[in-house]
Amino acid sequence: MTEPTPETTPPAAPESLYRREFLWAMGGLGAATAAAFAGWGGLELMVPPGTADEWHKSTCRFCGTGCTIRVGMRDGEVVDIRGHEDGHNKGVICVKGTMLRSLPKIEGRLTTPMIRKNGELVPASWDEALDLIAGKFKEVRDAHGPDALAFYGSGQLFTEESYTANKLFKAGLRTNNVDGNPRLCMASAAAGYVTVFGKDEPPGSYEDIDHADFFFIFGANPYDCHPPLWERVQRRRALRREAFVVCVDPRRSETAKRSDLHLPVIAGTDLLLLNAMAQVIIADGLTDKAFIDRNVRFSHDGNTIDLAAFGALLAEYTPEKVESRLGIGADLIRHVAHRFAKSKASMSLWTMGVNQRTQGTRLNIMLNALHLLTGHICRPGATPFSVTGQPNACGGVRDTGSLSHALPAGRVVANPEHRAEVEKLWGVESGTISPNPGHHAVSLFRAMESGQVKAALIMCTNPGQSMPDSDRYAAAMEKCFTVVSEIVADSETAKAASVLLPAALWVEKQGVLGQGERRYQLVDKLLEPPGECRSDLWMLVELAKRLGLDRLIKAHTPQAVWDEWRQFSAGSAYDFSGMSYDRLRALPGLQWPCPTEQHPGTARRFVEGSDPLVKPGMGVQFYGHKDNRAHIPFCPYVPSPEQPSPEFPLYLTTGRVLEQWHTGTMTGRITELRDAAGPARFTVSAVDASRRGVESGDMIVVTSRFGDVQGRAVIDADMRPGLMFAAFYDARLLVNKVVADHVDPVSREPEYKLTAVQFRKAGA
Amino acid sequence: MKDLRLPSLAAALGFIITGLYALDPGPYQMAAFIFFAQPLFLIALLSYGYRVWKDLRGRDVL
Amino acid sequence: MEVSDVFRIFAGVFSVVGLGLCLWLARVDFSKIPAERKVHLGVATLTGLAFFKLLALAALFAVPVVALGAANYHTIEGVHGVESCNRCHVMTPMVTDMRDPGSETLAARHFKNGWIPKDQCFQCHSDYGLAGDLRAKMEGYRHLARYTTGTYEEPIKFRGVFHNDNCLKCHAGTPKFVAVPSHATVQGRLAENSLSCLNCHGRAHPTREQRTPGHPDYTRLIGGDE
Repeated sequence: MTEPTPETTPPAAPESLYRREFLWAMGGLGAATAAAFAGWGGLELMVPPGTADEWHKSTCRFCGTGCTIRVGMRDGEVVDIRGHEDGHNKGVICVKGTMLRSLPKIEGRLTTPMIRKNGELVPASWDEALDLIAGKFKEVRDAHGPDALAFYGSGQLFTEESYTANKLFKAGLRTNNVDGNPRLCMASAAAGYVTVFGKDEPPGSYEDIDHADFFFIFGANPYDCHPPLWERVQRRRALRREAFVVCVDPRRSETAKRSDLHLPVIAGTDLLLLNAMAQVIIADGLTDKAFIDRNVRFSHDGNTIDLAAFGALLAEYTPEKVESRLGIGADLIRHVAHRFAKSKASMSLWTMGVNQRTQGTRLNIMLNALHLLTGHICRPGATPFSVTGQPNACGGVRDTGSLSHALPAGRVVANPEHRAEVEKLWGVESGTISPNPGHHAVSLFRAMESGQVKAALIMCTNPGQSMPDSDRYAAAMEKCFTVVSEIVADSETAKAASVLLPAALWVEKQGVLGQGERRYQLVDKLLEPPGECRSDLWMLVELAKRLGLDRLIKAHTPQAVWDEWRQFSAGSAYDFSGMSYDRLRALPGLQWPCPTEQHPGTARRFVEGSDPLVKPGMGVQFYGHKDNRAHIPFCPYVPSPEQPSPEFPLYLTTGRVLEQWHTGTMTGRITELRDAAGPARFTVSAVDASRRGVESGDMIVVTSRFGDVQGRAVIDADMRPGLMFAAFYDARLLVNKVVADHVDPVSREPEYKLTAVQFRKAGA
Repeated sequence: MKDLRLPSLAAALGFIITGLYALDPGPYQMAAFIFFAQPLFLIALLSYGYRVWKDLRGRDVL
Repeated sequence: MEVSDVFRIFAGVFSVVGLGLCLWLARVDFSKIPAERKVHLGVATLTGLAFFKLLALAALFAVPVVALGAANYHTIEGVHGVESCNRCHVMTPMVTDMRDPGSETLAARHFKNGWIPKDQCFQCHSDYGLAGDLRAKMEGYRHLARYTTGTYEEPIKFRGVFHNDNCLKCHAGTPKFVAVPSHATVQGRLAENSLSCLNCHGRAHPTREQRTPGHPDYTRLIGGDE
């Protein structure tokens, strides 16, 4: 290519032409820029339509995980639910929480008070219903004394409601017959914590899951029952290859299937495992001696003993001595005990397989004991943790003392000092509170049956389906003047009601829920309840007025009740006086102790620097006991009273499934959840089924010493012979009709997990 | 047609921005490319086209 | 070398060539090119005027078209790469977190386990791109405008709705997905996006709280990479 020689002189054009063109160009550039900005402005205005118009922080009202959620609203309706990323649950909820949007609109909502007249429930006005209840309660009290009255509440009521009911009945009507569903659920856990630490509620937090290397999941099935917690365990495992999960469950549950090691103990014998592990830990020198010397006291029959003596008592429980009764080999027991003791941080998680047992309190004590013996406590990831089943069993019932033996903030009825303190705080005259503990749940329903209790108020729970031996106790309710606050007219409990009160639910009212890790969270009112539904607090306040007790029940709004209770807690080991409604509204909950409005809450209890109640310099202080030591009594194994026999050769155990919650009154009416769970069925082993000529899908009749129930059988290849299972969510398969009602001698919690049964093909 | 100074300079500026964007496609370079370089090229093209059109008209081709 | 790098180099080379041609062209006075000037281009011989007219066509039309096309490949396709996202520092926390083997977010788990081999951001945000929907592209335009003019505040908030399709395109129909009964009963809600996969399966990225300057995690997230 030949190089062309361009003109090197700049072209000389008229200046005006250049200026005009330059201005044109600049104008073009300006127009382009303006168009770009206009486009941007337009885009800013084009807000993509979200799934909701406004979002409110709230709390899931199903299980005791107590997930923090965001509630999406549009046109005055709940339209979307999301996990709250700043909540303890880090944005994770489960499908039940996700479907909370459908809860306020479930079919069959009860919207007007109903009174039973000539055997039929007929609509009535609130005044009519409340006047009738107040009149009847006064009549019963005057004729039969205050202990002929009772309140049966729930871990689903807001704290303000349980606190008010407890005060109304114990200080107003002067009966300690205040109990509720939490007795059926976590009374053994509470008894265990109180025995060991002197104060109820777990020392650790869910956050410990993120730090644990060894998970001891004992009598729990978090995959189905507490999905966000199981998800958290799974994440820990994914991040840390060393993390090891042991699941102790006679049934091969969904959790057991996904664990590293499943110990399928023979149903009812698991206390042998805990005692054998303790024996191995002491005999093999796996104890944390320094920790024990400073912080632990052992006892036997009320006498303090030392570690060596405690170890000697456990000589009856060497792995070799228990293996055949337990159904787990001695080597495996040793292996698990060593792994538990030697991991960097061990965390136990347990629920109803432990609590709903006649050895419930002992199992709880020994689970806590394993942590104390090995020093796996009061460190991140190292903690014993009892997971709860209801959203407010902890905050609403355990902490407010709304149980028949208890008074608020860790006090008990039987202690005259405690009664005097509470009388002073409530401003009632000395001697108002009865010194006699009231009826615990099973005893209460028996008292209704025998006519000792003649009038009862049942709120926010479904004992007609959830009580063991449920036919018997449903009949007992019918013998009594039973007032039921309910959301639907056809629950098993509503069917037995003398008066039915339409209750507002969840975000149709305001109040605080306290979940399993001592975290209190505020649920704000976002919806008007349908029809004439009212909050349980409103019902209690109105009833108090009609009973002439408005001088006692002065706080009429949730916030007023909360502030009263908050002041009440000040100075106690349950001190949450720093949790104002404003703080609870701003934050995704707070964990007590929280004694000032500046305190960030306590993730790890009994630990200096975290727990404000620990004295400086103490490091770890178990201040619940006067000697600042955790207390481990020797817990010998006592077999369950419910033993298989030739007549009832199988064990039935009950539980939950992922998509349904408790008795299914709510989740059973939400299409997505109902269809996912399907109807409840009995899962049986292939061996037991074939021996009885039963095939998968056949109807069977299950009988026990307590009754019989018919349901569909499904053969589960993973079910061990001699064991069968049914979930209790389905009113069409009322499995609790056959479930035994033996109770733990200390906690009085019934043994749902173990009933000797027989089954046969229906019609055969 | 006398000269193409204006379209050439506009395109030159466009090429500088495009070159910088190609070298390191960060957000600022991307914005400069999209909001300045591309309009500059458009202006260059229009200005060039206008001259060509005038040139052709001047010779009665069009 | 990535395809987008090839296009970038291409765009760069053409920009340099184009710049040279334009600067040359700017100095040419067409009225002063002698009519007898001949330019030999290999086999062809042109008059000087014709050569410079061709030069103008190249400098002002052909080369710009090629350079713009190549550069726009990055605007449209190159932005799929993680590095491209990471160039806006408000996105750095997401990328740092995704590459952190100790993080438990969905992004980090997908990355650590190699579930998505490349263009990890884009694979779950594939509303973008040539085949993506126009609205998402416009959101990208808005983001660019906000970022370069500094009219944003940390932590940034996702304004739209994350589409479940991004999850379902891989997960739907897998044995693990089908084994969960509620996946079938909420299928309609998942499809219409009124129920988020993230509810049960957790956060995808660090929380807004963590991405707020002043939070203990902020410095690590914003500076942990590059």
